[in-house]
Amino acid sequence: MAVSIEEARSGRAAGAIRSATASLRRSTFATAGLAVFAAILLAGAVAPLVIPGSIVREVNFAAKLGPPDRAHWFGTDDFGRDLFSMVLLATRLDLGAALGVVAGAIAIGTGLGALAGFVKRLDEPLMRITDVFLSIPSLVLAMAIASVLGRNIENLALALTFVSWPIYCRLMRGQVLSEKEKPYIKALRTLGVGRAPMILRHIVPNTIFPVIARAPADVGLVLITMAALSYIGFGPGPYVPEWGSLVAAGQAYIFQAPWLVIFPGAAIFLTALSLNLVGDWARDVFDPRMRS
Amino acid sequence: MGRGAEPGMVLEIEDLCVELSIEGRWVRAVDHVSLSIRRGEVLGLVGESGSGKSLTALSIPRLLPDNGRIVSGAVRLLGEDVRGQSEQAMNRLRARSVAMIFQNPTTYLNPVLRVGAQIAEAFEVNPDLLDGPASPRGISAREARRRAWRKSIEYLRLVQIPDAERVARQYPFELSGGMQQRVVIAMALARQPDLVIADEITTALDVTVQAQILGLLSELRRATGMTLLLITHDMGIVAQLADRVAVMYSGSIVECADVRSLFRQPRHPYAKALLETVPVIRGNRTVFRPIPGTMPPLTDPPGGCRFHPRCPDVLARCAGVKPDSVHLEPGHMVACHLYGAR
Amino acid sequence: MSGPPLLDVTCLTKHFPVRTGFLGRATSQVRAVDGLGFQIEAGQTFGLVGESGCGKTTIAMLLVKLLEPTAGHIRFDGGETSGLGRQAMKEFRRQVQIVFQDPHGSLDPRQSMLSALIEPLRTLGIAADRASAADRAREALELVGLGPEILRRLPHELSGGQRQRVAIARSMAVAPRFMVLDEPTSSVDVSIQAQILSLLADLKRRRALTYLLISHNLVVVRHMSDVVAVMYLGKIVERADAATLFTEPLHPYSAALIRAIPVPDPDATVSAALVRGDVASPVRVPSGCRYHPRCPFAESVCRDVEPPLAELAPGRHVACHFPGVARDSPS
Repeated sequence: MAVSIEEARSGRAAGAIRSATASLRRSTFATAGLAVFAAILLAGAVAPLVIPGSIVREVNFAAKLGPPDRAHWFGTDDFGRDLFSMVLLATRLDLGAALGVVAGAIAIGTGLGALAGFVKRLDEPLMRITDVFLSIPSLVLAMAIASVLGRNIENLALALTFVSWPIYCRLMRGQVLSEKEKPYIKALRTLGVGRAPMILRHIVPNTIFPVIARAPADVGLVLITMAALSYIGFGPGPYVPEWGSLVAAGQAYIFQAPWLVIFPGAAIFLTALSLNLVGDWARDVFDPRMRS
Repeated sequence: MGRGAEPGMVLEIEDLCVELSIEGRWVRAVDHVSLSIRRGEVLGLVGESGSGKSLTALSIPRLLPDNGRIVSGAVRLLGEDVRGQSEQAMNRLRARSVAMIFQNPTTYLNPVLRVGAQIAEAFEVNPDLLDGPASPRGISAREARRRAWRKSIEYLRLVQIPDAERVARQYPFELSGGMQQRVVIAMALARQPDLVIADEITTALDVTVQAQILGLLSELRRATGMTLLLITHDMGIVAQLADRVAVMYSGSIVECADVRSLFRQPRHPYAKALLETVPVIRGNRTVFRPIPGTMPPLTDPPGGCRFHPRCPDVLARCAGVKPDSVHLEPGHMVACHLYGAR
Repeated sequence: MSGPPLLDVTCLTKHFPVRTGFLGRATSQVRAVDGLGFQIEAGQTFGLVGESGCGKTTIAMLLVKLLEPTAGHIRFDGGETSGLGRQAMKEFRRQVQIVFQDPHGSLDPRQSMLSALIEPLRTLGIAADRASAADRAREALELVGLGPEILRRLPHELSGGQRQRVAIARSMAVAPRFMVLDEPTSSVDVSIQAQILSLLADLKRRRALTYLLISHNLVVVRHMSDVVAVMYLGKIVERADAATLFTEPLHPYSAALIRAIPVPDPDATVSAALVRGDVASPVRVPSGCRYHPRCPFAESVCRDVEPPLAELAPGRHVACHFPGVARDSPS
C-alpha cells in the first residue's frame, strides 16, 4: 500500500480537524466563547455595511440621553445618536485595532525572541533592548506618542504595539532556549539540518503556539487599554465610534443615563471574555503534545 | 483489626476493576485483579509499562489520579475495605497503615525542608509512635519535636546512611539519588506501616546504587519483618527480594505463584516469554528472545485474552473468551485457556 | 584486523566550565571526559559502560560533533574530524549517525514520519527530489520492520518501540558506516528492548556497520559487543574483549558493576555490593585513582597516584594498582 506525500499530508490535516472539533465538543465554555466571539466578529464586519457612517455626525440634541426603547435598543448618547449603531460601528474599529496591535506585537516579538534564543551573540543586546521597552509604562508611552503624532486610532495602535512586543519576545526566547536543548534538535543537527531551516521549520512551529496562546487574552487586554486611554482623553474624538470613548463620554451621565456606560462596557467585557475562552481552546488544539 | 479478616492477611484485593478517562472515554485499565499479601511477605508485582501495576497499587491508599476511578471490587487493608471509608479515615490509613515509595525520590522530597524534618513529620501525625516517658499532662510541643528529631536520626541510621546526624540537617538537593531514596524509605518506615508499597524504586538509580538499595531492603526485611508490595519490571529484582510473584499484562494478572515456581516453571505464555526476554549471561553467551508485537493500547484492546495476538500457543477460543483464573496448585494461579477447566 | 581503525580517539578531553560568581567567571570545571583514548575497528561493536556522570554521553556528543573537544583528536577513517568545511561536514554526517536514548524526544513532535525521514535525505544531498526521497524513506521503514502506514503518523501516535524504529530508520536512510547507539533500549520496555537489539544486530550484519554501543545495562552490552570499555569519572578504567571482561573483570569497579546486576534466578546467591557510597561528581574529581573513595580495596598509593591505563596483555587494558584484587574477595 503505497502512501503518497499528498496522502500523508492530508491525513495529518484531517486528524487535526478531528481533534479540534472533539475538544470543542468537550468544553461548553470553549464553544460558548467561540460562538460569542464569532457573533461579535460578524457584527463588526456587517455593521459598516448596514449602518451608514454618517450617523456619527447626525447630532440631534433633542433626542439626547434617551433610554433604551424600541427605536433605540441601547438608547441614545449625549449627542442624540443611536447608541446601538455607535457600539456596533465601534466593533470594527476596536477589534480591528486590537487584533492589529497583537498581530504586530507577535510578529516583532517572536521574530526577535527566536533570534535571541537561537543566536547566542544576539541574545544579550536583544534582551537589553527588550528590558528598555518593558520598563516604559504603556499608558505613558501611548500618551506621548498620541500627543506628538496626533490622537487617532492608528497612533494609539502603534503606541500599544510598541509596548506589547517585549513580552512576546521574552516568552519566545525562553521557549526557544529550552527547545534548543531537546533531543530532536540534536538529532536534526546530526542529520545535517542547518541553522535557518532549524529555526524556521522546527523550532518556531514547536515553540510559537504556547506563546500565541496568550494572544486572544492579550487582544482583550489591548481593548481594555485602548478604552482606558480613551477614557483619560487620549482617544480619538467623539466623531470616531470607539468603545472606550463611548464609556468616557457616558461616565459624566452615569446616574441619569447609565446605559451609556453599560452597553459599551458590556461590549468590551464580552469581547475580552470570549477571547479568553477561545484562547484556551486554541491552545489545546494547536499543541499536539497535549493531544495524546 | 477488621471484621472477617483472615489472620495475618494484611492486604486482600478482590476482583478490582479500575478505569481511566482517556480523551473523554472510560477505558478499563485494571480488570478483575485479585491478590493478597500476608504479614511479613514480599509480593512482587511484575509487568511492563501500561500493564496496570501502578494503578493497582495506587488503589490501595486510594490515590488514583484525577482521571481514574475504582469501578468495582474490594480492596481490604487489614480486613477493612478502603472503598467504603471516609476521606478522614483514608488519611489515617495513609498516615499509618500504608506507606508508598515511588520511583523518583527527588520529586517526592520537599526541596525546602531539611531531610530530618521530613522524616519527623511522621511523628507529628502519629505522636503515639514517639517513645520515651510521657508525663501525665502530655509532653510539651518542644519535647515532642526533640524526640521526633532523635527518632528521625535513628531511622536514617536504619537505612544505612552514614553520619546520620549531619545528613538529617541537610536539604534534599544536597544528597545524591541513592541517599534521597534511602531517606524516602526511612520516611516510609518511620510510620511503622502495616504495608509498604514500592513502585519501581530503583529504576532511576545507577546499577551499583540499585544493588545497595536492594541489599538494604533485604536487611530491612530481616530486621523489621516488613510486608512489601514490590512493583517492578525487572525480573532480577523480583528474584532477589520476592517471596511470591504476580505477573500482570494489560490490566490482568496472568500468573501468580511463589517465586521459585514461577522462575522454574512459568505456565502462562506471557510469563514464560517475559522471562526469556531478559538477557541472561549463560556461560559464554547471552541468551534472550524478544516477544513479537507490542502491548495493546488500553483504548483498543483485543477481544478475549488480551495477550492472544502475541501468544505463541494461542488457541481458537483465546480470541473470543477471556480466560478465568485457575489454581493449578494451592498458591499457583494462572489465567490461560491452556490450563482452563473444560 | 587489517588497516587503520575506523575510529581513532586520542587524549580526548572535554571540560565544561561551572560559572558562578559575580561576573560569571568559571570557578571550576566539570571534567566530563578527561584525556581518554580508544580505537574501534571497522565491523566491530564497541561497548562503553558506566554509570551516571562517567562521561559516556559526552563521548557520544563529541563523536557526532554535537560538541567540540577541549583537547585531543578524533580521527574517522584516517581523517581528522575537527575544522571540517561544509561539504566535508556533510560527508561526515552521512557516514556517522547516532541513535538517541529517548525515542519520544528524538522526533520533532509536529513532523509526520514521512517528513522526518525525507528531511535528512534532502539536507545531506542524498536524494535529488522528493519522489526519490520518499522511495528511500519507504525502504528505510521496511528495513526496520515498519509498514508505509507509519508515514502519515505523528510521533505521539506511535508506541515507544515504533518511535525508536523510526529514529533508527532515519539514520539508516543516509547509509552510514558508523553508528553511535546512546542507550538505545533504556527508555523502552523489556520486551521491546529485545526487539530493538535484534533489529540493531540484524542491521549491522546486513549493512556492514560499526557500532559504538553506550549503555549502563551491562547485560545488553555483553550481548551485543565485541570489545567493552568501562568508564568512571571521565576515564576508561578497563578495556577488554567482551567475553573476557565479563568472566574475569580486573578492575574493582568493573567487578562491582557486574556483580550488581540482579540475576533473574531466585536461588542465585546475592553478593554483597562491592562498592561504597554514591557515584562521585565530575566537578570534584578525587585525587590519585578516581575510584579510590568507593573502592573497598583502596590503599594509600591509590589516594596519591593515578594509575595509568596499562596493557597487561594484548587487548587487555586496566587502570588499577591492584588489578584482579576483586577476584579473590568472597561473593
